[in-house]
Amino acid sequence: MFSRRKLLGSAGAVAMLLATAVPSWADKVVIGHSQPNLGWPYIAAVTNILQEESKKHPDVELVTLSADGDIAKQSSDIGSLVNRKVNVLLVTSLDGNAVVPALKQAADAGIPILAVSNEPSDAGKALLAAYSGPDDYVQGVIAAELLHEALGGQGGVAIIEGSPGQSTTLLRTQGLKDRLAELKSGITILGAQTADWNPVKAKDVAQAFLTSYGDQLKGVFAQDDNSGAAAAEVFKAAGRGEIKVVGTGGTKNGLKAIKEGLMYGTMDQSPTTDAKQALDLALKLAKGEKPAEKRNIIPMPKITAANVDQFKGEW
Amino acid sequence: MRASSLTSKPIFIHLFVKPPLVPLLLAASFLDGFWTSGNLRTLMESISTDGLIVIGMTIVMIAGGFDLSVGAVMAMGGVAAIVLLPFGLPIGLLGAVFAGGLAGYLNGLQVTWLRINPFIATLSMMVIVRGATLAYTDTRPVVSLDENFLLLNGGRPVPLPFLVLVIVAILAHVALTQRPWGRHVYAVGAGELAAAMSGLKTARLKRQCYVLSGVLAGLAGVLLASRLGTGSPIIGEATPLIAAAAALLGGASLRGGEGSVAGAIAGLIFVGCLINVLNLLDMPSYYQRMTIGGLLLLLVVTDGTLMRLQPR
Repeated sequence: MFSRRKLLGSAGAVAMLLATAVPSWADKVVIGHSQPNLGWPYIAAVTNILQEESKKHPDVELVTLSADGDIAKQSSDIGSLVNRKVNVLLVTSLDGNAVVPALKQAADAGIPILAVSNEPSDAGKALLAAYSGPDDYVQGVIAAELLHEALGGQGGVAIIEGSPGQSTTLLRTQGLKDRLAELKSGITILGAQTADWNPVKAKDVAQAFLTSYGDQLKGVFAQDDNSGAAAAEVFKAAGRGEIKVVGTGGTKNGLKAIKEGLMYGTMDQSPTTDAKQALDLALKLAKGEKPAEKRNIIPMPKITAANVDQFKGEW
Repeated sequence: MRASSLTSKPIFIHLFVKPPLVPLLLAASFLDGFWTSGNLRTLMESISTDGLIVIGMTIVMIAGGFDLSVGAVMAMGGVAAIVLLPFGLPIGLLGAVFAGGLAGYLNGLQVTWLRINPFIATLSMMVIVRGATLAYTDTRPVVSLDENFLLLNGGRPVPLPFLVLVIVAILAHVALTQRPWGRHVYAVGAGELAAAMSGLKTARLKRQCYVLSGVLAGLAGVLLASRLGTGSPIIGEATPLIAAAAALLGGASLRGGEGSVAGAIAGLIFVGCLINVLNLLDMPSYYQRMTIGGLLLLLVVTDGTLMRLQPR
């Protein structure tokens, strides 16, 4: 028998459900993440960890758009996220200058912006609520210190660069040059060539360095570990295993090359630390809190044969 | 005549079948946030630069050619505009357009004078232009946050580049359908020998088409640079493919002699809306590419089958 009380009760239950469901849906924090290219291992690692971590928060929805390496698409992606009125905008920029107009759009809409993993240009920095991630310039600085100590402060080095035109590439090179000058190091930079973050290309570049610089070449700064390990293999095969190769990133390949004595050193850049710190900051920003520091640099310890066993290599 | 029957293809074909633009827009209406002015502006912005390039590509394809260099020329145009900006906005604009036209003219010379296959000719131009732009900029993007320059991308709710696209599209449509020049271009594409026999200057017509494509790519580069505040030497690698996809979806053909501006724009809006809808649906970008590629294949295959079934 359907009693009126039962009906009322179930109606009440539905109403209660609605009452609890609706506000929780409305309160849901939406985080938008515009990232440059899922094809890059580090970016893919950070994106995946961000997504996994955000699932631990039932009230957080993370929307990720990938620009596929196209700066025009990144600009539209950010526009789409602004139009969706996300609570916080995370931006890993492909080109630190070209994102500025899109960031302006977000700032005008009152959306707090957190740059993740890389920083936009100065005009863009002014629009940020905060930055979280590694410091490309400091990585160049650390590489300079590693090479300086490995070579005893003299000899010629060459640079295997990342993709041309990217701020990551430009800053790592600048950091190396500036720090060598500061150290008053006798190390001279013989030249630089791009390997596009591609270890196969890095082998060709390494071969070209051997041909053009010969015995002058004492060290190499590879702007990513995979390229560094690939170059070190070429040097070893050519009987020039004494050339000191310094990488960037602390990747699985890089750590393996250091253990095997192929590479001299690198510095750690952990996607887990990067992603977790970014999500913490994003949640704070969503609540309207101001982060204590504007620039939140993740720790980037030096790795050499002496301490390589303490790192596990995440990407 | 074959060409004229194709140009007069009823407009609803472009809107419902090739490409299925109206069905897509109807489906999009069920999505939260598609028909908001902000989203539409984002959509118009992203369509307008590619749109100029698609128009150029369509004209070249109607004339039986192809232009792989459009993305590289667009990058060069953006860099040229910002480099020349200190001499004034008009000089920047003219410089970019002139550089684009020059690249187009060289494309045309390769195709007509040296008789190189359009794919090879424009591929070489693509690599040369890209290399020259990278060399000139030392691989670094050139930046201008000059207020007047950024205003080129201003305008609300309709962005200025979109108005430029509308004007260029109307001019191109009129030139192709209402003027003798347009009929000649279709004739050259449909059969070069026949066109030459009937007294048309086929080589000159083809060169004009390539110059137009180059000029429009240069102009697109300026507008894109204004949207980004940056002239990047590495931009536009996928542009020739997107432009070709849009032109093909809109009824152009690699055989030449077919296609229209209206169709190409419908094709481009279709691709643009599709990406936008897939973005709103949170579909990862690689699946988006697969969807567009699969759809292109499906439409082209359907088109080919239908044509074979048609009584001649």
